[in-house]
Amino acid sequence: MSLFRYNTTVTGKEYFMQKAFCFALLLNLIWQVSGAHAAVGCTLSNPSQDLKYLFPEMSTYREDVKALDQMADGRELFQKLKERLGSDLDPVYETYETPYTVYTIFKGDNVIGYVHGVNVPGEGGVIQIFASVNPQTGAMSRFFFQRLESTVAKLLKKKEFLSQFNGLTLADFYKHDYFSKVEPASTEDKVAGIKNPIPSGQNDSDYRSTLRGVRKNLILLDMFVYKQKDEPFYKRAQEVLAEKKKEAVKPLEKKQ
Amino acid sequence: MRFVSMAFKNLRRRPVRSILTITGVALAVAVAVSLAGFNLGYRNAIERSIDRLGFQLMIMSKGCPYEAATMMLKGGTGLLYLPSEIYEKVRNDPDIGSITPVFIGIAEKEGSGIRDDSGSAFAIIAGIDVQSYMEMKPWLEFETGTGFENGRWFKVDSEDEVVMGYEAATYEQRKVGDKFLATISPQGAARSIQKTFRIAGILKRTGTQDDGTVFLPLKNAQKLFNRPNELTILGIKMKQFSGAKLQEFESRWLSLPSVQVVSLQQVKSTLVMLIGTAQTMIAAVTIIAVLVALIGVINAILMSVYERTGEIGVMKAIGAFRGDIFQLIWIETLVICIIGAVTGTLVAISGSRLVEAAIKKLINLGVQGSIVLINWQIITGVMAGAVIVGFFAGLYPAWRAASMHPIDAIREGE
Amino acid sequence: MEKGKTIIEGFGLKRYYQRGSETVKAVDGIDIVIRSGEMVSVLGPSGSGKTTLVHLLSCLDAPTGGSLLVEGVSVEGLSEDELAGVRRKTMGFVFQKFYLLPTLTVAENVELPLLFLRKQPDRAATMEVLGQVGLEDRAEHLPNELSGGQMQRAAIARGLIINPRLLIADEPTGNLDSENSKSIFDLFGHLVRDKGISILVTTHNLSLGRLANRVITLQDGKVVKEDRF
Repeated sequence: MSLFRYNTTVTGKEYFMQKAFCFALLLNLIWQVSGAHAAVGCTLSNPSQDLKYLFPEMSTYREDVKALDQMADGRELFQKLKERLGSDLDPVYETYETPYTVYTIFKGDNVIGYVHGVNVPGEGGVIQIFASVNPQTGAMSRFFFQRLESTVAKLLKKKEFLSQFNGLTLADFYKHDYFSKVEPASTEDKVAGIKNPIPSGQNDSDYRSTLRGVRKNLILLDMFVYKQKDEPFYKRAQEVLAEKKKEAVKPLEKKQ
Repeated sequence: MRFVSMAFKNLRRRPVRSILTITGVALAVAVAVSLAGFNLGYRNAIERSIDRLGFQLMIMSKGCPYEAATMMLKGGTGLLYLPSEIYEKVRNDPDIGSITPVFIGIAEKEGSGIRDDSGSAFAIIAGIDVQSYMEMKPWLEFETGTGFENGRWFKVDSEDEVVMGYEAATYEQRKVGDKFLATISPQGAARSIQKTFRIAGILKRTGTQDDGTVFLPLKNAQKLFNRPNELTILGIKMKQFSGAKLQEFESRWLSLPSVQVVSLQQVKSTLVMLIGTAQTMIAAVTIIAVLVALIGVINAILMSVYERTGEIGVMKAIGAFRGDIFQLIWIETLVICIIGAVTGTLVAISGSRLVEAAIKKLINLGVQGSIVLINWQIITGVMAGAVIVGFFAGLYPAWRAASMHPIDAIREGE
Repeated sequence: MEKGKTIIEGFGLKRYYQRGSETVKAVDGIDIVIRSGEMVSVLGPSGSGKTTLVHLLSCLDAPTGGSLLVEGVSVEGLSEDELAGVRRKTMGFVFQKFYLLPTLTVAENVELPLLFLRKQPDRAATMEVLGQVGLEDRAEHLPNELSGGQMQRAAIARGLIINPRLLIADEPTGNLDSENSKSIFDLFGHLVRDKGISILVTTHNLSLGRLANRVITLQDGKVVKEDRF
C-alpha cells in the first residue's frame, strides 16, 4: 500500500505534487499494490522515531504482537472485550483475528512506559488511537491520534481536548458506567468530565468513536499487560447496576 | 565393479570432506536456482501486472510518465492532462477495438504519524466511464460478505458516490455505505475542499493497481478537480495487436503535438531494463558462488589425490593406463558435482517459498503473487551447468593424478 | 607356460640418478634372466639397488643403459602406457605396504587389475585365487578387518588374478612378523611348485631369501654373487 503510506514533510507543495503524480501514476499503472492482511492491526508508522519522540529518555523498546486467536483463552478474552466495551465490535475490522502491538519502553533495564494503538471506524475513515500509559498504574500519560480522517479533526486534535485524558484509567471508564446511570452529575466521573470539543448540533460521532477507542485501548492493555487488574472495578460496577435495577423493579412489583 | 562405483567408494573414505565439498556445490546450485527463479518469477509478475492493466496501449500527455523512471529522480514537469477532444478524435480510429477515458487526480488524505509535522498522504482518484472501463477489465467484481453486501457501481451522474479498490477500503477500514473523506485541490482554486463521499461498492482484490484506487464517475472527477475538458489517459485495446499495427497507429497519432502513445510492451521493456542492474548483480553473486564451489571441489579432489599417491602408483603398476587414472579422478569430481547439484536444486525448490517471503519482506517489489518461479528449464540448465563446472573442475586434479610416475608415486606413498 | 622358458632378460642394465652434482649409480651393469617356474630372490643391504633392479625388470622404470626384453620383445622406447600394457599382461605385483584400497572388499581389491584390463570379474575365479592364498572366508571383508599377513595374502591374490607369467614382490615381508613372513614365502614356494608361476622377490632377510631357487646378491648396484638352490 505504498501509495497511501507515502508520508513525508511537505516542502514545496506543487513540486512535490508533480513528483508524486508521476511516481504514483507509474506505480499505479505498472506496479501492483501489495496485499494487505486480512486482519489489519494498528502499528506505529515509525516506531523508533515515534517512541523516541514520546519518550526522549528511552534507551530501547520492544514490540510484542498480541493476537487473541493465538492465545489459549483468546475466545474468552474476545467475549470479555465486547462486554467491557459495551458495544458491538465491527464484524470486518474488529475481528477475533485482529492483531495488536504493545510497545514496551525501556530506560536501561527499567520499563518506563507502554504504548498501544487500536483502530476504530470513524465517520469518514479509520481512527487510529494511541495511548502511552504508566507502567505501574496503567494510567494514561499521553493520548494521540496517528490517523484521524474526520471533518472535525482539527477540534479533536487540539491539545486542550487531548490533555483531558491524562491520568485516565480503565477503572475510570468502568466507574463511568455506574455513574452515568445512577449519579450523572457526580464529579467523581472523570470520563463524563471530558469536554466534547464539537459544538452541539454538529455531528459528534467521531468524538464518541474516540472515547470508544480509548476505552478499547485500555481494555486490551489491561488484558495483555496488567493481568486484568481493573476487572474488580468492572465487576463491582456491574453488581451495583444489577442491584439498582432490582431496586427499580421492586416498587413496580409492590404497586402491582 | 566399475569406475563409477569405485568413485563412490573413494568419496566415502573421507565422508566429512566429501559432505562439505558437496555442500559447497549444493549451496552454489541453490543460490543459482533461487536467483534464476526469482529473475524469472519477477519478470513474469511484471508481465502479469502489465497484462492485468487491461490496456494494450495508452495515449497520454507527452513527458510523463513514459520516462517516469528518470522523472522520479530528476523531477516532473507538472501535472499533465490531455484535452478531451483528443479522445473524441482517437475513438474513431479504425484499428481500435475498445477505448476507455480515464481522469486521474490526487486527493490529500490524513498522514499517518503522531507528530504535528507528519506530512500528508495521498489517494489516487480515478474518474472513469464504467461501461468502457469494464470492457477493458471484465474481471472486476464487487466484494461480497459481511460489510460489503450490495456493492455496485456508482450512477453515471452521481456526485457523491465512489467505488473503492479492496486495499483502499481496507486501509480506511470502510464498508459499503460508509463515508469516505478526501481533500481535493481544484485547478486554480485558492483553497482545498474537503469532500465527503458515500461508498457504493468495494471491489474484490485484483492484485493490480485498481486495489489502491478510488473510482468516481468521470464527469464528477473532472468537475471536482476543475478540469472539465481534460483527461489523463486513454486506455486502448486494438482489434489486432502487432508490432506493425502499433507502428501504424503511432504514426497516425504522434503527429498531435501534445500526446504520446505508450505501448505496455514498451513499458514492460523499460521495467525489465530497470531491473537489468539487479539482474547483473544476481548474475555476479551466482558466479561468485559457483567459483567458490569450484575452488572447493578442486581443492578437495587434489587433497584426495595427494593422499592416495601411493595407491595411484600401485594402480599404475598393476596395469592402469594414464586414461584410467584420469577417468577415475574425473568421475569422482563429477559425482560430487552431480550430487551437489541435485541436493542444491531440491533445497532451492523446497525453500523457494521461504526465499520468496524473505525477498518480499526485505524489498517492496510492488507485485503480487509468486515472484519465484523455478521451472524445468532452470533446473536442467543449472544442473547442466554444474556438470560442466564439474567437468572443468576435475581436469587439473585428474591430470595431476594421471601424470604421476608410478615409481615416484609409490615412493611418495611410502 | 613350459618350465624354463625365458620371461625377462636384462643385459648390462644401468640406472643412474642425478642428485645435485653427484651421479648415483643405483644399478650399474647387471645381466639377469628370469625363467618360468622359478623363484628368484634378490638380496642385498639397503641401497644395494634391489628395488631399482626390480623396477627396471618390471617396466616400472626405464634403464639409463642396457637392454631389457620381456618375453623376447624389447621394451626400449615404449611410452608409459605401453609399458603399463606390457605389465598388465605379464606381471603381477606385491608391495611392502600392501596398498589395498581401503573402501573395497578383499574380493574387489583382488579384481582391481581386471577393471583396468576391461574384463568382467568372474567371482568363481576370484574365489579360486583367494583359495590359493587361504582367504576364501575373507572375501567380503574390508582390509581394515584383516591382519598384516592376511592383507599381504590379499595383495598376492590381486597379483595372481590376471594369471601372470611373473609375480614381482618387492620386500613383501617388510611389514610382517617372522611367522607371517615365513608363511608368505611358503606360499610363494607353493605357487612356484604347484602352479608354475615365476616369482621375483626382493628381501634383506637372508634366511627367507634362501628359500628361493636362485639367490642373487647385489652390492652397490652390481651382482656380487648368484647362488642356486
